[in-house]
Amino acid sequence: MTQWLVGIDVGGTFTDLVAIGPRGEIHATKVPSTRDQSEGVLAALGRLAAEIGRSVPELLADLPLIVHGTTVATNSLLEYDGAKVGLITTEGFRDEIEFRRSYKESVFDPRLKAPHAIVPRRHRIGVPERVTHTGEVLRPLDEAAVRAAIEGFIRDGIEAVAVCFLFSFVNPAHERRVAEIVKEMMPSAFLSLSCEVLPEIREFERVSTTVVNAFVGPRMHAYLSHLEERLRTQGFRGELFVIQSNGGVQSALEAGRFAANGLLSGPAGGVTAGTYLGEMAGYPNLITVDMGGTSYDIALIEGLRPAVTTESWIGRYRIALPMLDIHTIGAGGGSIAWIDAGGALQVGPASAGSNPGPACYGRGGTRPTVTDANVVLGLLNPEFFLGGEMRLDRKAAEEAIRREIAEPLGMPLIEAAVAITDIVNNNMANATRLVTTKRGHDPQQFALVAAGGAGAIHAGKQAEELGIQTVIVPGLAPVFCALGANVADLRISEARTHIGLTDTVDFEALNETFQEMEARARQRLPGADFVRNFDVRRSLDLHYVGEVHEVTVPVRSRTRRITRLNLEATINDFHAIHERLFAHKDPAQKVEILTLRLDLVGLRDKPRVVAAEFGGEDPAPALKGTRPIHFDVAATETPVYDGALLRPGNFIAGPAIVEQWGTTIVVYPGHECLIDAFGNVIVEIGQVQKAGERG
Amino acid sequence: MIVRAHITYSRLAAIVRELSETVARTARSRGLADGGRFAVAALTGEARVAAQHQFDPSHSYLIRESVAGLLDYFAFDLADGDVVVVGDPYRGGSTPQTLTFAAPVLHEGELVLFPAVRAEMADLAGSYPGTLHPTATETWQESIRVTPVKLYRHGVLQRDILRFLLRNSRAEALVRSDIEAIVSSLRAAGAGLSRLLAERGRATVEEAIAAAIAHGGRLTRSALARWQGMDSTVSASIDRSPGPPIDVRLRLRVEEGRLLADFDGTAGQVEGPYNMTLAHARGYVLVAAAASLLDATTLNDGVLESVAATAPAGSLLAPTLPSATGLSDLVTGHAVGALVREALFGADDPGVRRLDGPAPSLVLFAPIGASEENPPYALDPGFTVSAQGWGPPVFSGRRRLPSAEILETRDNIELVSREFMDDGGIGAVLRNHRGGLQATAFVPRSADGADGAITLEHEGRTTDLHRAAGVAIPDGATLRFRYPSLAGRGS
Amino acid sequence: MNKRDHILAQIIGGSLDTIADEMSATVTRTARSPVFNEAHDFTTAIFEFDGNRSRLVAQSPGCTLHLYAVVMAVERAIAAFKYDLQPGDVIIASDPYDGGTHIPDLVVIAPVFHERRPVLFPAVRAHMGDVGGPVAGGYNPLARDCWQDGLIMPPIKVVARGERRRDAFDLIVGNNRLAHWVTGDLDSMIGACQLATRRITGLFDRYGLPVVRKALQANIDYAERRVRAEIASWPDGEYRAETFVDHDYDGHTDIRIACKATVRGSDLTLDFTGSAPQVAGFINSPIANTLSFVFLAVAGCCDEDIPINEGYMAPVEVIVPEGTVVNPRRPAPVGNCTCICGAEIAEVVLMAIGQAAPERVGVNTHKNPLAFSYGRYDDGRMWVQLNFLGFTGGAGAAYGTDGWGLYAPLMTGVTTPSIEMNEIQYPSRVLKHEYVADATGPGLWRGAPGVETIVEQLAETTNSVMMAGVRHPSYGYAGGGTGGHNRVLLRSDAETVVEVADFAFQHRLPPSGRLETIRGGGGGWGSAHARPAEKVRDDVLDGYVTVAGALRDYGVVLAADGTVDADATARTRAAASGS
Repeated sequence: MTQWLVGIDVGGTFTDLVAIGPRGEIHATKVPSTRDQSEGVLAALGRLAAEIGRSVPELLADLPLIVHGTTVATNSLLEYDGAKVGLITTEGFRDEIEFRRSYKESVFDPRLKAPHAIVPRRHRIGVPERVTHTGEVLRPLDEAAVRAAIEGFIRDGIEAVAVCFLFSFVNPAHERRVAEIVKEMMPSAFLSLSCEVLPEIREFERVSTTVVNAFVGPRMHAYLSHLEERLRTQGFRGELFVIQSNGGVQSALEAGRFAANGLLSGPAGGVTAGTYLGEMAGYPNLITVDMGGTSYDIALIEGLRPAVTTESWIGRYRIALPMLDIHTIGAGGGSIAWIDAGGALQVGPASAGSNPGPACYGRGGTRPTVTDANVVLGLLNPEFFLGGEMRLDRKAAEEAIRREIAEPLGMPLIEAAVAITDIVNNNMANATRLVTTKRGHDPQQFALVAAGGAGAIHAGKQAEELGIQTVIVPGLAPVFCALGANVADLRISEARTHIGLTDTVDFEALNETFQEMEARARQRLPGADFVRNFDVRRSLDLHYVGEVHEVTVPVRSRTRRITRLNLEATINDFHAIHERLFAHKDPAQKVEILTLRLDLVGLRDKPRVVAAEFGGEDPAPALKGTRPIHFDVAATETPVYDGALLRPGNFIAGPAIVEQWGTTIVVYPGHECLIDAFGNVIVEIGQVQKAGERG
Repeated sequence: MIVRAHITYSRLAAIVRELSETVARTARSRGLADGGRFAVAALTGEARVAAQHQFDPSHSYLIRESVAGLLDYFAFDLADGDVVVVGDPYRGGSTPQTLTFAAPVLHEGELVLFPAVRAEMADLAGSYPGTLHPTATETWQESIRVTPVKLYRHGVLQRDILRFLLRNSRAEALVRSDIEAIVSSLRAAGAGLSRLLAERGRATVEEAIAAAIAHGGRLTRSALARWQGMDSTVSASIDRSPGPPIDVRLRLRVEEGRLLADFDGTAGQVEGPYNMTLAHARGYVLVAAAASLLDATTLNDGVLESVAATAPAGSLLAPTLPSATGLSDLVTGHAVGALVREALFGADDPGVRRLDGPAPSLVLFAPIGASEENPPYALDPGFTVSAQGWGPPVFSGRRRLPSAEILETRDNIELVSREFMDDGGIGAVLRNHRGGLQATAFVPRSADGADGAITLEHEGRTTDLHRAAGVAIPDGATLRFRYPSLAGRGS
Repeated sequence: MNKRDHILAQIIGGSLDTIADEMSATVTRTARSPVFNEAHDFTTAIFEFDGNRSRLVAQSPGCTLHLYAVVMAVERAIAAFKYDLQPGDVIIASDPYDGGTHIPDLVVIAPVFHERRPVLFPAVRAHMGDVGGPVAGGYNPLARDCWQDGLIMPPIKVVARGERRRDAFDLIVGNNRLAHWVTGDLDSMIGACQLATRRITGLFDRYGLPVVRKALQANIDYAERRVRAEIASWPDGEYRAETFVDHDYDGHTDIRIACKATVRGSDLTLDFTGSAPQVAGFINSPIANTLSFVFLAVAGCCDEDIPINEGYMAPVEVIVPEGTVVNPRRPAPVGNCTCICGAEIAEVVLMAIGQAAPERVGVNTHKNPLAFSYGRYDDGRMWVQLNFLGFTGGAGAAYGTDGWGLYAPLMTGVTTPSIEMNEIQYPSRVLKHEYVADATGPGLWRGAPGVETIVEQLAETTNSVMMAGVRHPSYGYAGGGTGGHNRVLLRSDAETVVEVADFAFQHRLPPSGRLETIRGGGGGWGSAHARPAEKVRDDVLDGYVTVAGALRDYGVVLAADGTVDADATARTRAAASGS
């Protein structure tokens, strides 16, 4: 690789850029995010250009590729700032998206309000048509009705049209015909067909995903073309790729058409980076956590394969597309500590964000936050936030905690601060349990990768709570997602519902479908010239007859064909997985195939990061001094190290603090840490003490 | 040698007869105490009947089949002190609500000889108290299914299992005491059997049983010898009004002294409770062919093995779950028996050989839901007069006429009159003084019009109860029973 | 207890809720019968036993109807096995008169031991597809005693010391028409309890029993404080309310449910004296069911962020005279109690509390027009299909929000089946499932619109329908209008159609017969004339309300161009308030 690789990730607070040079040298920068995200992107590129002493056009001119993580789609959905959508669906079923299969976020709150209607009923039109579950046309499509509906859409200024008919995953003819009519009557409209977005059984999941795609599509499309336009005028001749929710990257064009695939474009990079890191550092099983200002993202990687789910809800809408299984809770540095009506201390989900931000930011924030607690406890160095780019106001932090927590609860200041960190740690631990134990994984079999500015402060405690032995703080922790952008592979996920019992499978049909899926995937997969080689991963959604939830099981096949033999092997795996997940299996029971899945992965060459020689164990040269730190109510005088001066092979016994650019690593008493060959900090956890015996 | 075996076996037979008497003496439900609606037996480790005692043709093969089902189910999980129970038409059973209890006794660690009791419980839930439910379409409507369960494990009562049975009964007190009676009778018999084994030695006892079984076989074969080589096919139809009649077809052969009944060609199972399990039907074949013999000898595997029956699965006589079987004794068994007699003796043979004769039945109970304890009260003031011109037909089992005084004083049923009618049948008129009641009732219709009847008279209105489920029987209402006479009728 | 303990309490409470969530996930994914895996008609929770009483300590949001009913089931199960409870045991129970509600709601319980004493009891309670007895599906409108409801399951051990008790298990399955489903269902429930047992044991090892007990107590105290604070904010006094069940399925109508709510400081007494004596038909509500619905009503009046546990009921005293429809004696039939009179019990409690705290009450939508169909697959196996799509709906309004979606919170957490899945699993096809205009309670905040559902049965079916909410639809609160009336039609063909008045029993429909349902919308909150005219206009544009309905129910006049005629509206509204 002779050219620069550039990955740019836009987050809520900062826009991060990681560039890897021809000789594996790494540049990382952070600039504030901007409303028009392309501003921040170009600013970051400007920084990089400056650092390597070139002009932006020079730099852009020989960038073959920019990989981009953006929150445009996510924000558009979360802020309900999307396109004006019209839905055409089967007559008699236009309210499914509002019924939500009667799901409500709270089963106990009668005052819970309805979600914002991204497609109000007046724009949901049912047209006469029906195909059966076997695909025959029971009732032909009433084109007049379709045209009438579209005329209405034109009158009401609809920007995007979603189409979802019952059983279109078996026979999409009617949806395709509607698409033709739309193209003819409102050529500028954004089109979202359920048979393309999510050709899978279950009408609510499908219609919701299809409508969301229509809602966020135009914004995403506009942003990406706008960004590409700006890059081109500055001389960019390469390709612009976007990180997708499934962890792969995709061309700007496809990313615009299937914007619903980009809802996790931001956090997905972190998981991908985790996989890369795990491969590099030799840890195949990882839990990656990313603790930023407002949220805490958790994902699980087993055998270097990130966990994927199809059961997400985002912005109160159901997205049934395969996405990295990233579990997010409102716990970040900015999370606000408060006392509820019953006098109990709560932390989050409300966040002070970056503006006004925590009290200690001194930007007018008065509510106490997790960051404030960390400052009070001495875990954070007010003088060395963002490597000193920003000063923190310790007094303000103490004041906020004393006023709003300590005094009301009648606790000393320090105890209150300890309580805040305990609660937030526990919230994070329970959330982490949900993505591990609830899915049948034992946290103790995993290493914890702590990314994000605040991650490495709390990771040690997390690990204790969960019985995790190893914490890895990547050298690039603060810009982890941007690193991910550099290493993400190209990936297309295809799915087709294909119902049948495993003992009466029509292998011809099955293999034909898989071949058709692969063909479509290849035609959707861009930038083949970046691909070292292709990897086709087939899997089946299986369940015991009667079960209505499926387990996705990778097909045990070396060849392209599914045969009786490798199907049987796959079914055995299914029984095993079923038992692991649900504590029982039933090999006597008939097994049913519901959905075929195929991932076409275009593997890219991973950047070669040079492994440094191990030096001596003694970290003394990096020692900055000591300061009193409250790991618990009592304070301990603790050594503080400068991360920039630590060398591979250095060994530090806790308690200790390692301060490096953009993050602070807390090595708790009883823990030990080692700097590995790639500048990652590896923390080993000691014996877990009984929480009950504390305090 | 022979003599010693004979003495040993009669000791065994005595233990079995004793078991039967204890049950009858200690049980509290009328069905067991007066009606003799139970059977007892001693069985070998291979579930062969060493000796069986019964009053009712409906049990013949069913103890053996039920116990075999239990042994299969629990296989090697049987120990001293266990009492295992099954009551499932589809696991060796016949009519619902009839439980088979077996109490394995291990002799030096092996299952050699143990007692079993098969008895009809007063009530095990279902739509109505008692067994009679003429409109049932599924076995669950007739009663719960008691699949094989351990009531005692190593002598310890499994309280939850007992509670399960009792909570699913409208006659909790009766069922509880009957179960206690049966279990203690079994324990006594079990002790007797082990003593026998201890005193005589296992070998002797086993020889004795083998000899007796062989003897039973010889007796039956000789009784059947007169039909050696016969092969006749007969058919009849069972009235199922309002539904269409059910055809029953029987090909009966006698080969090497064995009676082979093949019901191929019989109609498929029906929605009503007329279905009859094959082992059950086989019993009627046996009794029809060898009734006289059965009075003379002790029933054992040798006798049982001399009769075979087959029927296509899913047919009336080999129904599948969850077909209802409640009327099999009341109706189907009689029809099967009659066919066998016809095949053996010929249609034109004088009816004196007839053993069938279905009778009207009525079960009284308090209005459903009125009280927690609602034991059924089967009212049988008379009986169909047998073709022999006196007493009830063999297939009706042992029936004792309830005494008018008892009825009136104990049961508050006034027996207004009971006498022979002109046609030789029995007419009985009763008046209800038990308060407002409900009833299930059924009056079988025979092909030759020898029908009985039950009518309800109240405030000038007369209602025919030939097929009633949950009908109200007001206080003071009059019930008229008409039992037909089969004397002098052909088949 | 010091502040640290409070923090620890939150931590341990959170862990237990997480365990309940795990159980829930396990059941959802592995249960076999659609009524339960697709519909999620179940709840997982964890209970504590302190030697004499059982208490709810943690739960996972599920079908809320089940939740509090399990408390008694746990107590009775423990009583049943007093000296014979072992680690590794798993108990199944469903006896209306021994801690149960209606028989199809079966509970699976596992004792978790610490130092030889059973301490915590994870439990799953779920609605089974069938429970034997006279009628498939467990709803028998002709039932006149509990045995005609179905198989009664007093507490019975299906796993003893970790070993499957095959005979006990088969006894239950052998009395079920849907053995092929129920076996899997029970396995998944048992699996969930065993999984929870492992996790809880881990918790004991980690913190030790004293700490855990202290933590649980702290969480219960905390919830109690919050609930007491809520009750204390209501004016003291006696508030009487009554409502009526349509009929008892035995020809008698307007069965009275009465409640007197007494607020004294932070104490709430709910006295059901004056409710009708137990009835012949299957609407009688066993005590566990009554308490369960009282719990729901009370929970709905409190802030949503209070942890759900025993603390909710601590300030509440419930008086239910024996022999009444809200606390019947064996053997009264109870088959339909989890809909009616459960719904009316919650309703009457809310009506009473509403007089003290109108802004806290709202929604009550469980007057379900239950219907189910059964038939046989080609291979002869029986299928039973509860008409979820048809009877789910009727979300009522609450202070600050219109009713929306199908069910309201509180009354259930069930998920309606996928229409496409349904067409694949059963020989039936859904032809319509959509809101209908107006069929709901108007108000300052209105109920969700009524829902029309048409199911075509492709093969011959037997159908039973049990109407509710016809004479007495869901009532509104604080002057809100009454919800829509339920309707069910059984259509054999274009001409032959039967509208079900009170109930239909085993009504045969030929192939392509139809089950046509209109599920009335929920009750409204506050005066409809106070609803902003523009919001009414929006409802008209969205087809939730017709132009005529806008005038009739809201006094809003719309001009020909669809805009609000402000003056005319003002006049009609003034006239209405004047009269």
